[in-house]
Amino acid sequence: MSLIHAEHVRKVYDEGQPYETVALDDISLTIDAGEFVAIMGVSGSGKSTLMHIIGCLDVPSSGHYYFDGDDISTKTSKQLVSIRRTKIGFIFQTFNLLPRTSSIANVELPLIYQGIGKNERTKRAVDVLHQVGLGDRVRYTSAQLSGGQQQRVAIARAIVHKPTLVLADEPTGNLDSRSGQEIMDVLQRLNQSGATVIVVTHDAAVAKRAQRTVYLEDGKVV
Amino acid sequence: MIVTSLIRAFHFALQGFWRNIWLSVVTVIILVLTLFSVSMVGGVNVVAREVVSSIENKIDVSVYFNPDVDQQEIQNIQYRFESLRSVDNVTLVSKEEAERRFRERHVNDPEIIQSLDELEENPLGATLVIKAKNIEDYPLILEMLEDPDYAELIENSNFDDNQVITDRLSDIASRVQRIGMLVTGVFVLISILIIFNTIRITIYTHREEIGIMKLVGASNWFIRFPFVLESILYAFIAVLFSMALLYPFVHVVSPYIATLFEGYDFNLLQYFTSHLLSIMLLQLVIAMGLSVISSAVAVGKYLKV
Repeated sequence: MSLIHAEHVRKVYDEGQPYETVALDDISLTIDAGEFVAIMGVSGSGKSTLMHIIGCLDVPSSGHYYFDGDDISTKTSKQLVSIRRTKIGFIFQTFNLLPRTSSIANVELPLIYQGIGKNERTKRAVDVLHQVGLGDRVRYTSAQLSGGQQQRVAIARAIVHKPTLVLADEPTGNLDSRSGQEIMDVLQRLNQSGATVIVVTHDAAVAKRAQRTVYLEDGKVV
Repeated sequence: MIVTSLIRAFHFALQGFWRNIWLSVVTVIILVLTLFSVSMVGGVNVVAREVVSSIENKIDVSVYFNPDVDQQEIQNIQYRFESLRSVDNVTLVSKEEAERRFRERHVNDPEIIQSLDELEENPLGATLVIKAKNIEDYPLILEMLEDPDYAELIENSNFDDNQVITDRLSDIASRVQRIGMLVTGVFVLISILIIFNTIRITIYTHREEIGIMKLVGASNWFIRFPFVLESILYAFIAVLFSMALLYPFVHVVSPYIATLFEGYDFNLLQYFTSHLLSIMLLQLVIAMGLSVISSAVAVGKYLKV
C-alpha cells in the first residue's frame, strides 16, 4: 500500500516573476509503507524541496501529493501541522535540538504538542532514548553530547510519537564516518521494525543502505 | 495539558524578559510614559468636565421684579416658566424674604439697616430664580423675559457672567485636550515601534527554537502565546509603575487644582482614589492592547516554516 504518492508535482518559487525558479518539475513518485528509500542528488537538484513537500512542510505549486491517502495539496497550514505532529518524524543534518535543554525534554516535545500527560511522556521518552543507546544520557543537554549522540537524541525525538514516516535530511552530514555508520544502523533497525524511512542525501554510501534510491537532477526524477 | 502549556509559556515569557533585560526595561519605560501621558490627558479632561459641570450647576437667571409688582402676577410668571420643558426649577424669593436676606447680609452695617428702617415700605422687589435643564436653554429663557409684557414688571435680570467663564473654560480644556492627544499619539506610536522591536529581537534570539517547535508539530498558538504573555508582562509592570508615579503626582497637584477652582466643589485626589480601580483597568487595557498587538504582528513573520 502506498504511503507517499506524488502525481506530476511541480514546485515553482516566485512564480510569474522574471526570477522565478522551478525547483521540482513534473515529479511522479510512489513510496510504499515500510520501505527504506534514499533520495539522492547534487546540491540544487531539488532534494530539499521534495523533502519539504513529502514532509508536509510545503505544498506543490501544481500536481497532487497524497500522504497516507490524504491529498496534501488541499490542506490548510493548520491541517499540515496536525499531520506533521502525528504522522511524521524529522531528522536533520544539524540535529535541531533545543539548546540548553536536556535530551529527555527534547524528546518529549512532540508528545507535549500531542497533549500527552507528564508520566506517559517521560516513560515513552526514556524508552526511546534507551532504544537509541542513550539510556544513561537522559538528563544531558545538547552541549554535553557528541555529534553522534545529539543525532541519536534527534532520532529519538523523531520516533517517540510512533510516526508513520521518518524523514531524514542528510542525517550523517555533520558526523564522522563511525558515528554516521551508527546512525544509519539505528535507521535501518527502525525500518526493520516497520517504519517507513526516507533519507535525503548526496552520499552514495548512505544511499547504499536503502532498499531503493530515487535520483533527482534539475528538479526531475532520473 | 492546558496547565502544563501555561507553565511552559510563562517560563518562556520570563526567559525572554530576563534574556533581554535592558530592552525590556526600555519597553516598560516607554509604556509607562505613554500611560502617564494618557492619564494626564484624561485628568485634564476630568478636571475640565467636573469644573464646567460645577459651574453649570451654579448658573441660573435671576429676575428682579419692581417692588410694586403684585405677588400674584409674579406667581403667574413663575407657573409659566415652570411649565416649560427646558426649565428645571423656578424659585420665588418674595419681597419679605428678599428683605430678610438683605438684613442678614448687612447685619454688621448699621447705617444701611437704619436707612432701610426709615423707609415706610419695603424697597426690595421679589425675585424669580430660574434654572434651566441645559446651559443651551438659557438664551430661550432670556428671550422670553424680553417679552414687552414683562418690560414694566422686571427691573433687571442677571445671567451673562457665568456663561463667559464656562465658554472660556471649555475652550481652554479642549485646547489642552488637543495638545494632550497629540503628545499621547506620539507616545503611542513610539510604544508600538519599541515593543514591536523588542518582541522581534526576542523572537530573533528564539528563531531556531521556533523553527524546531514548528517542525515537531507545535501549533501557531503554542508558539505565539509565550510572546503574547511576555508582552502582557510588560503591560502589567508598566501599569504598576505608572500608578506608582501617578498617585504621588495627583497628591501633589490636587491642592493646587483645588485652589485654582476654589468654590467649584472638585477634589482631584478624591476622584483619583474613588476611581483607582477603573483607572488601573483602563491603563491595563491600553498597555495590553498596545503590547499584545505589537507582539502578535512581530511573531507572525516567524510562524511560517
